[in-house]
Amino acid sequence: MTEERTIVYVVDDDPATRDALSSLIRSVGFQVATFGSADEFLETDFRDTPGCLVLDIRLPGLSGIDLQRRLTEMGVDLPIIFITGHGDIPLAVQVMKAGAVELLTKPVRDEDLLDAIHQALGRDRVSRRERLEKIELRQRFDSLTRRERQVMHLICDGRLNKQIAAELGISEVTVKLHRANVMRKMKAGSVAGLVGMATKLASKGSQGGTRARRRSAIR
Amino acid sequence: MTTQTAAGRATSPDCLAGGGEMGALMRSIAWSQTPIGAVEWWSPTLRTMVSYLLANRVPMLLWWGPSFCQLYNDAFLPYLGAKHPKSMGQPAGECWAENWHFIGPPIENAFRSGAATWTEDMFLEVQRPWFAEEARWRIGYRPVMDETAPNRIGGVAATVDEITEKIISERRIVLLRDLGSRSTGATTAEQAFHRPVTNLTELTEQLAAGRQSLERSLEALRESEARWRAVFENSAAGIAVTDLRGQFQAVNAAFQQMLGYTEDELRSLSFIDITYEEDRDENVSACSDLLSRKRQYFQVEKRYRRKDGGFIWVSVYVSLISTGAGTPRLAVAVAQDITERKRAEERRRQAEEALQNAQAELAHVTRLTTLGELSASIAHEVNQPLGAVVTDGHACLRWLYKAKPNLDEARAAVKRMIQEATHASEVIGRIRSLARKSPPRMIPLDMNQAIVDVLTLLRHPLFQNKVVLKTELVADLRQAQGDLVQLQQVMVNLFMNAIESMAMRIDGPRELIVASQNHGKDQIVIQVRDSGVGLDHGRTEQIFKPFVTSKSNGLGMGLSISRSIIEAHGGRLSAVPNDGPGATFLFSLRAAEDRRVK
Ligand SMILES: Nc1ncnc2c1ncn2[C@@H]1O[C@H](COP(=O)(O)OP(=O)(O)OP(=O)(O)O)[C@@H](O)[C@H]1O
Ligand SMILES: [Mg+2]
Repeated sequence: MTEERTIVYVVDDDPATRDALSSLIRSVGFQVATFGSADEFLETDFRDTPGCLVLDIRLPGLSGIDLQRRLTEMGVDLPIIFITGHGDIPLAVQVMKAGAVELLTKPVRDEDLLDAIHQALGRDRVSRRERLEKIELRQRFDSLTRRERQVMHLICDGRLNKQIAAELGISEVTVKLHRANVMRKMKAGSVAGLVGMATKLASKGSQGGTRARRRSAIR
Repeated sequence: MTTQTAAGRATSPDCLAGGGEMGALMRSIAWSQTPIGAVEWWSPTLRTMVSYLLANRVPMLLWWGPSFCQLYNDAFLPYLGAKHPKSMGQPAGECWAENWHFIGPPIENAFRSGAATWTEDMFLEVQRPWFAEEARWRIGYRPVMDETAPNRIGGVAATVDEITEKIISERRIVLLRDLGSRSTGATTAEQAFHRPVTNLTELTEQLAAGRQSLERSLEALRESEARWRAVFENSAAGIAVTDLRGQFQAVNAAFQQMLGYTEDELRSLSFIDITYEEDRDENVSACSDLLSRKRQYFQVEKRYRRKDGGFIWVSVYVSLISTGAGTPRLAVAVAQDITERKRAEERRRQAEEALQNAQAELAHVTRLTTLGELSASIAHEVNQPLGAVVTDGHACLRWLYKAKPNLDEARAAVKRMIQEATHASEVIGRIRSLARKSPPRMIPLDMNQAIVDVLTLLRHPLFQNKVVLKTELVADLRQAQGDLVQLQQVMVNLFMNAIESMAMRIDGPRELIVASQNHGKDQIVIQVRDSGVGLDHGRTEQIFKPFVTSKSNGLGMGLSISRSIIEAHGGRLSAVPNDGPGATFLFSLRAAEDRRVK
């Protein structure tokens, strides 16, 4: 069960609740870091470590919802499990729309919480992998020459070599040469594979929270 | 009639020695010419009686033998007037001829049957015009036993007791003493009597003056007696005269009416008998203070038991009746019926009690209302620790079910569970005590702790309204004397008002500052400062009136109840507008007996 290099962050103003959550989560082998307030949490370096956030909705100062918004603004794609003292439906809808993994009501059932943590960590893993893949694709894409990128766009648009040559005003042989370079540099096995890569490069990512990072990657 | 003989004088026996003027007169009389014969032949009893008579300072007279031959001493002289000196040795029938029908029978009676009698009459007045009608005398007639007499009664002795009012007697004594000491230079009574008054003109003047002064004093006496009578009989206050054992001697009409007893019935009772059972001890001890002269008088409020079984409240003033130098023998009690006043007092007390009850009731109802409003906050306060307990329970089980159970972690979890469950039950206890209707219990309180406890109940509204809470509680705060529940209620009211006031402000920081301080020598002050909509200077008193509210869902009772609670604690609650935004409410409390928190 032990996941390496993952941390579950717990933010709750009530020390007893904090300690209890920490104990439960540690009992299944996760590493836990606890915080008494949103501000305290924001001071730590949580970006590079895979993990998830267990967050009390009701916090003094910056509330749980405020923190969620702040992280989104910061482009941090950390899955959040909300915990609330009382089932508040409008609040639940709001946080779920904003991308929360789960909203649990106190007293929390251990399985619900642990399931949610597993799910959140899985989601984090996926999004981290996707992020890495995209970074690599971007690097490959960045290694293409201007002409090769133009050729790649046209290939992905489904044009034939002849059509591409006509469009770019170059010979068909030259197009073939560029095409071979694109396929090699992008490590694409087929045109279909290349099209998939192009879609990924243009995508907004799996979560809204990645927008900021994507923008910086494309620049 | 009296003849002096050399023999009489020569043989003057011892029984005629001394005796002042009358002694001298007796020695000069030829007793052989009288019915009782020569002194030498007098019986021992007669001799003894005569020497006794002459030696005596009280008026005495002796009628001896069947003819009632008359002998008397100096003290009797004033009663004889012009009859003297002829009356010495004269048969009584001759001397008192004009009154014999009156005087004769008791003398005869005593002489023949040996019965002692007395008469109250005024026969003496005839010869003593200056006493007029006022003199009242009691004349005692006592037979004198003599073995040598035929029927063993030698004669009859008469004593004169004055029964006129004392003041007359005093006047008389002054007058007589004056008469007796007419001649200056006399150092003893004996000497004085040996030098009789010679200046008759002067004597007459003196007598006339004496009479006038007597009349004047009698007049005064009559007047004062009349006044006393009038007061006694007509007074609306009950007046009773008792002896020193408390037995009634005389009571006036008002007193009889108060108690429903007649004077005769009361005479057989003492004041204890009519004093309400519960009030007796106090009354008796006050009386004993009076008798032992610890007090001149005393005044008590007590109840009298009426004849009909009911009771009345009276205010009684009791003092001894002092009679100059003598020991008082009577006490007077003046009783005022204060039943109406007492009933009014009782009604007022009952009304106050009812008001207090109503206030307590109202305080309770508003406490419940407030608790209702706080239910969400309270639910959270209880749910929070319970949530932690459940989570810790799960954690504990998981630590234990591991292939290698981690006992340290399991133990830590259980410890937290215990702590949190205790915390939850404390919160519930606090709420229950606020909800309970219990009589106030004044005990020393740690107000800092009370403030913290109340604030935990208000965490939810504070949070929801984004209020930043600051507490400035001094560590050496004195303990306050008070009822915890009531003071918590006051604080809930003040804190809720502050939160509600800040919620009405759209912008600006929302800050609630709660501060405790020692104040003066024996007080503490709690301050509640908010940054809400604030107060107009003109409204700082009005808001403490019941039903004054600016809130759509407000009752307007919070501050009014809070103030009545604080004032019942001997403190004060007031409001002041802040210099900046918001208002500050402060209340003071009395410190408990010089004890500090911690
Ligand atoms: N901290 C405050 N700042 C400004 N105004 C206040 C404050 N506290 C009380 N007031 C004013 O005084 C009024 C009376 O207060 P009070 O607590 O007696 O009644 P209420 O709060 O209106 O109703 P409730 O009976 O529910 O307490 C309030 O309506 C408000 O207008
Ligand atoms: Mg109020």
